[in-house]
Amino acid sequence: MHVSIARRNPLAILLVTFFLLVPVLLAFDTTTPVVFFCLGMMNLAVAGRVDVRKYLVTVGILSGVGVGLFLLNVLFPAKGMNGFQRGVAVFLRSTALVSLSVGYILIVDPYDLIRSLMQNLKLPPRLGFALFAGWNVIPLLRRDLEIIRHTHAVRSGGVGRPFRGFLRAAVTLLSGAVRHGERVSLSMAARGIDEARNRTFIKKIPWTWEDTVYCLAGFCAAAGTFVILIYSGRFTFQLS
Amino acid sequence: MDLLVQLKQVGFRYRGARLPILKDVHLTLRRGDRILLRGRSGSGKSTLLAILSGLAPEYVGGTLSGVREIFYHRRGVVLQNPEAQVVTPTVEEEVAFALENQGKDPGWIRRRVRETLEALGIGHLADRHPLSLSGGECQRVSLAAALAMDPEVLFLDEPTSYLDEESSRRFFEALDLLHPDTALVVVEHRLEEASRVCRKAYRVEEDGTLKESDFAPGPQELEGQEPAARGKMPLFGEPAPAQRVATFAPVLEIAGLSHKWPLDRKGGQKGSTKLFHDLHLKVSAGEVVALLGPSGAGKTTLLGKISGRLPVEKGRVFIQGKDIATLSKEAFYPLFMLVPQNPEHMFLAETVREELVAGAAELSKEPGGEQSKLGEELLKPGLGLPKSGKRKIEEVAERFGLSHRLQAHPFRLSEGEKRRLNLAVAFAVRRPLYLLDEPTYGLDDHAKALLREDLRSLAEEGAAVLLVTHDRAFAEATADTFYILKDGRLVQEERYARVYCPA
Repeated sequence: MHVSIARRNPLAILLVTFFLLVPVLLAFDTTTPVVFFCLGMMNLAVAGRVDVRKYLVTVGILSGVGVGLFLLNVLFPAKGMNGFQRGVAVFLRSTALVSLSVGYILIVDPYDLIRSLMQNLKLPPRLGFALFAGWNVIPLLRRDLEIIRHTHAVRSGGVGRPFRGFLRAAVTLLSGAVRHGERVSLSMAARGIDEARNRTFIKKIPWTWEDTVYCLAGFCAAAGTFVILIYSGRFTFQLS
Repeated sequence: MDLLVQLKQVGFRYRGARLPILKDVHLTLRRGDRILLRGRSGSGKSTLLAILSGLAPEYVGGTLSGVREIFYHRRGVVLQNPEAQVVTPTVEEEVAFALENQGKDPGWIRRRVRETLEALGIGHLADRHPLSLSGGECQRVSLAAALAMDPEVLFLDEPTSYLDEESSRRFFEALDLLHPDTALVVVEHRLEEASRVCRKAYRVEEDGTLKESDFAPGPQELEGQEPAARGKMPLFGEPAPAQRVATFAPVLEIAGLSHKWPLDRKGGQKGSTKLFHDLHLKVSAGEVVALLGPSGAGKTTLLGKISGRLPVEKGRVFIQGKDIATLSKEAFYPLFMLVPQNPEHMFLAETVREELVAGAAELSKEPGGEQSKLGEELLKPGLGLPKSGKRKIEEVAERFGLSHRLQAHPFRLSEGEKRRLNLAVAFAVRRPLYLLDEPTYGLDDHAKALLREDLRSLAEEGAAVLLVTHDRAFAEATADTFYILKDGRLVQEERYARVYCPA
């Protein structure tokens, strides 16, 4: 089970992470991603506690995409462009985006995010708890897929095309997942989810004044840095 | 007001079904009533429970006819599958779920949840994820969730069908906590347990009508009772002859098999734990061997190792004298047939008919494998189903009680029907060894009797059968040899018939 190590409301952290992501998404220089990556690290230190080893491993694996883009630009440069420079910019941008996103994912418990959406943004409980159930089912699906593939393989005597076998297993898994969803839905209905007009929560994820301050500070830091980078001529805009 | 539910001339038909599953049902439920609903699997017991609990047709679709009046305001419902009732990531929230929906004060809810969990003896599980619990514990959490609401009526739909005997007994004992005024409606095959808590029984007949009944088992309804209580085992006919085939060559042989269970990080320990150690087991041709043991003992894991789903790290497994570690999948898998715990995992077609045809069609792909007579019949003369093949499919469907469901999607069958379809498919092909993982889950007594006959026929034709089950009565009536897997050790037991019926 993912345990929340966030010190702020998950929605507040999401908002600040968004503030940090936008400039990086628009940048095509080498300074902006590095600066916002540093801001992102400061944000992680303020917003929660991250498992450094897990963070580095995940970012390291996902940075492979950035390395691929770098090599692509170096080996096949666009006409009239400095392939190396462009490659470095693309690599830094994608790695900064990955780092900021992974940081958010690792410090926020997905259940807390859904709880916060239901409690603070009036996400309907029927939908919120369906998301809970969906998150619960992921490990079950992994287990079931393994069993289904094995059972089908035994049933067919170990012969047959692997791709077709995978498709069959996927169809069986999907049908099972749909049935599971129906049963969970029935279980929720039996416990009055549809009659919940003024639902209460024993686990509260409140939005506090500290969250408001944190969001304002995050916005000011991100926007201020962005403006400075633009006026200093360090920021280069390119959407793609 | 004492009246909780009243049904007058109620009928129910599922979407797309030709015939109604229930018709002309009259039933009155009053405060303090304790009712058992019984009948064959797929007869409509669970549907009737869903109608009484206000879930059908509202949430399951279908058409309700007649008059249904519901007067209660608080109901508790516990369904069959413990996993499919879990919504939240902690036991505490799971039990609080319905109370939160009612808008109760969070402080009061926490106290109520704690009291209920303590009363059921599972207070220590409050912070655990429900899906990390055993089936028995998880079902007690579902019961706690229902009881915490202080329901006027509690509906239990085969709540113990996924549990072993000990967990089932404990589940029913927990119902002693019910307030005398709380009404109870139970669908259950374990009549002995149900008769402890119910005062009245109704049977859903084959034609969909409801008749008042008693708790006495029918000709084939004695499962759940200790053998001593039934004298000479009329359950499935005469007990299997003990050690009848001990001299035959073993089809399956396990030597020194061990398994360590790696704990996840939440388990709090590094390294691994021994689940079982140095197991030895032989299953001969023509023999039915039952493997019993409490939940979590490692029965399914053992089956996983024999069938190649899990690696064999220590020890060896031989099938027909061949070490499975040395075999390719193409050489290994045709040596056995596996019937999994969850019947849905075996399905690969869109209709029951296609499943039955596929059962035989898959066999034809076996390189060098032996084809059953049924398979040959089904597959000739090649494309499409010949008349003789159609006849055979119908015969198989009839034999397994599926003839009225040939066009149905396998996932839409009742639990018992799904299990019967698994068996029909498994038995249509001929393999030297059959591995069955809890084949009696969801089966009614009649279906169990048929299964027992089928397993005995298979053995008589020379197949070896290894049966993993928690159903002692069924194992006793079916198997030649018993092994108990407990505390990591496998012990061969005397036949239960000898233990309980020395005379």
